[in-house]
Amino acid sequence: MGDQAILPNTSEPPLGPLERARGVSPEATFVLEAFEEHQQKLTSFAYAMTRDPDAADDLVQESFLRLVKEINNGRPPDNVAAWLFRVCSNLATSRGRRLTVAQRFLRVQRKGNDEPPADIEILRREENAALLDGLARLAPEARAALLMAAQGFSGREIADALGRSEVATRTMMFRAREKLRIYLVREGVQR
Amino acid sequence: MIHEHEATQYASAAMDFPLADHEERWLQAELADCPVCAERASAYHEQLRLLRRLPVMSASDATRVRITQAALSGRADTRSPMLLVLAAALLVGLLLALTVAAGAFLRDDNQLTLLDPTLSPSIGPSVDSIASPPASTPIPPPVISRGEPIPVDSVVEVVASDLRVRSLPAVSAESNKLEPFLQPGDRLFVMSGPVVADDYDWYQVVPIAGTSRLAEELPSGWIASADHDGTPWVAAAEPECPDPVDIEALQMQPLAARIACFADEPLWISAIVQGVFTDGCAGGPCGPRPWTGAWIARSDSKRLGALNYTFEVAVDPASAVVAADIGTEGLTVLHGSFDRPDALGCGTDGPHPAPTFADLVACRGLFVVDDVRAGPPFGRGSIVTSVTDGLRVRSEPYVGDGSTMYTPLLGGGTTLAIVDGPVLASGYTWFQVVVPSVPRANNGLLIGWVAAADNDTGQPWIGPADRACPNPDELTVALLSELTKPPEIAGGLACYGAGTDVDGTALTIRGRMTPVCAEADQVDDRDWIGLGAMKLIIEADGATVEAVPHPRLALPFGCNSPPDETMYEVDGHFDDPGASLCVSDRPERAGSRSFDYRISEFRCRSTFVVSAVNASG
Repeated sequence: MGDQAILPNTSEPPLGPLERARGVSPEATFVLEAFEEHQQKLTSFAYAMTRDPDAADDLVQESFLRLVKEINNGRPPDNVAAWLFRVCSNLATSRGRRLTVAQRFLRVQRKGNDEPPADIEILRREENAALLDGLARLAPEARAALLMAAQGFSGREIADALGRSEVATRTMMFRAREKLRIYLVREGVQR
Repeated sequence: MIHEHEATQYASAAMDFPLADHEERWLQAELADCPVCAERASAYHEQLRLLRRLPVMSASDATRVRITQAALSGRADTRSPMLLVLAAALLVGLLLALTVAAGAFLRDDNQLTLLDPTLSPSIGPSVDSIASPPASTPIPPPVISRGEPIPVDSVVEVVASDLRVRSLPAVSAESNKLEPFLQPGDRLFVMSGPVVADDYDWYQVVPIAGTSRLAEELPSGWIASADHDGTPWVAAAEPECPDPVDIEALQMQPLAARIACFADEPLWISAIVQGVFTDGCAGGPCGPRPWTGAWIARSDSKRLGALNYTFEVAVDPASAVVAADIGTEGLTVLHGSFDRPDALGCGTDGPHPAPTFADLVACRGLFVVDDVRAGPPFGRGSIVTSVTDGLRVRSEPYVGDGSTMYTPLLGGGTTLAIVDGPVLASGYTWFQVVVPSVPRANNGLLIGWVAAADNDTGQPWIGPADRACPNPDELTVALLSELTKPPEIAGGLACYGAGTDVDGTALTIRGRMTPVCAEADQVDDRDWIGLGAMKLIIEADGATVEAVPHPRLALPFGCNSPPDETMYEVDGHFDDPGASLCVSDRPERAGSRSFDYRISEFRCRSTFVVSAVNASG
């Protein structure tokens, strides 16, 4: 298949990756299947890490591009989901340090305040906002751990992904949950 | 025995890790016996439900398109569709130019030199590939370059548009055209060359910085340094090197950039090790493959898991360092260098296929450790002392505009409670500390980040708490009062808290006790140590100590009981685990939304908690 046949036509809605993948290499199929399977969870995770949809999209794109490189270098990860979350978490914490995220976060907050939501959405949005606000007060690795737990990763997978021992991860997650609980109680989200 | 903290910790752990049967049974019994623990365990599960209900988001169409492109093409570059369109347009223009040039080819077989270099100088060597010599043309042997050669191991910057990288130093069918093109501003590390072929001077390069792409997305290979007429396509440049050198900056550098910046210069670098990995490459840069020849690559190189990244090192077998020395979690100071001469041996022996050019770069860019020292042994919760005059406290753990410099500067001997860290930044190792001797508004204390040592001399700025601690077997109310009175309220914690020799041992004092009821509006199940707690004033020989009873302690009197003259033998301790859950200085009371709970926790850790009371006649 020539390049012209597989290059996307940006004037049309993008085709599903699997449709494009018919007849292509196993490596490409591997990546595209991984994308279909994990992109939503990874994007949601990245958004909760950064509170910025643009930054989240960037992180997801970068994570999958790195997956392409790993696979093309003959190093397919054993656990793709854990690998992607680890890479995305590392990217989020290194990119999101200090000013960048702080500045984006402020923009998001201002943007969000411009659009009054419908009544039914207000409580949910306030609850989510408080939750994200509480998460933002945790150390990035603690935030990543709680979000990965919510995505169904086991404690061992989280420890591996964050490069910590299981004991250290247990302690970190306990402290993070307790800090988050205290914050949510204060904000009236939890009793 | 106080189980509350332990039970909630197990409740949290059970959500993520399998518990042993006996642990599970113990936890269930504790939760049944401890309503507060059960409530918190329930709250953790509710948190999980809330987190799972966060909005589900999808990657954008643009991301979907780019990942599809990358997967299908096998190239993880991030070119936008617009760039692809431009590239296609350029290709069409190129074909038109070729058509014009075809007549010239027919008239004269001297091919490329007949192309006017001024017509499209920005296209560079890629033009040549259109008129490649026959596939059987052998690659010419290296000859000495004409003109001033570019030094090996130097850095150059691309100064022409669309500079082509090739797999071999030649314009031939065997020399693959690598993509994407290099663009002005891209910086390259020169690994070897020059090789003169096809009337070009060729250099083998590795990108170390890209203008519109990451260096890792640019191809390594051979470039021609100038056009036939001498118009340069690259110019000498300096690498952008981190200053100060710290592990976070180093791990962000491409491998070749490390070689360009430091060569084999000896370096001391600090690392906060949270785990060590010897297998696989998941999530981090992958080092030399085990089949490459040099010991550097065969030495079970290790990836040090730090806070947000991993950093790969190898251990020099000629040094006294053993692998276990760098397998310890915590702050570690590593000595070593990049670009060891041994790296040049990568792939020169062994039965496996010859290593690639990338393997050699990986070997040269690997940090080889020849000495290891433990960093300052200060964990969270440690009580330390400033050992210099004029220690600065900052709002953030780095030197820069966003990190506010607090006043006052701290004098030597000031007690500090470490509540977070270490963090490596700006060449320093930082710890977040509460300074009990510097009060702030709303019952607050100074909290901020201090550097542990001078980054030039290594002279420490904070050290272990140097305090005369009374023998715990001879403790009196007066001695305890001295340790806990303002302004430095952390003496009890420093002498008898976590990490001390007597951690976990009950301290016994004798005195009369006066109970003080908590204010009605301050009673809170979660807050039995702090402001909302019932207090016990223990008095003997004119000295007093303020304490709180553990909630499971059955006192022989109520909080409204009048004082009596009974002498009690009182067992207690500092640094109760419940302090980590202490929410005593509630924000609404403190009047600040930005109240820092770490101060609250520190106050609670410093509180003497009474665990047993017996009348002693």
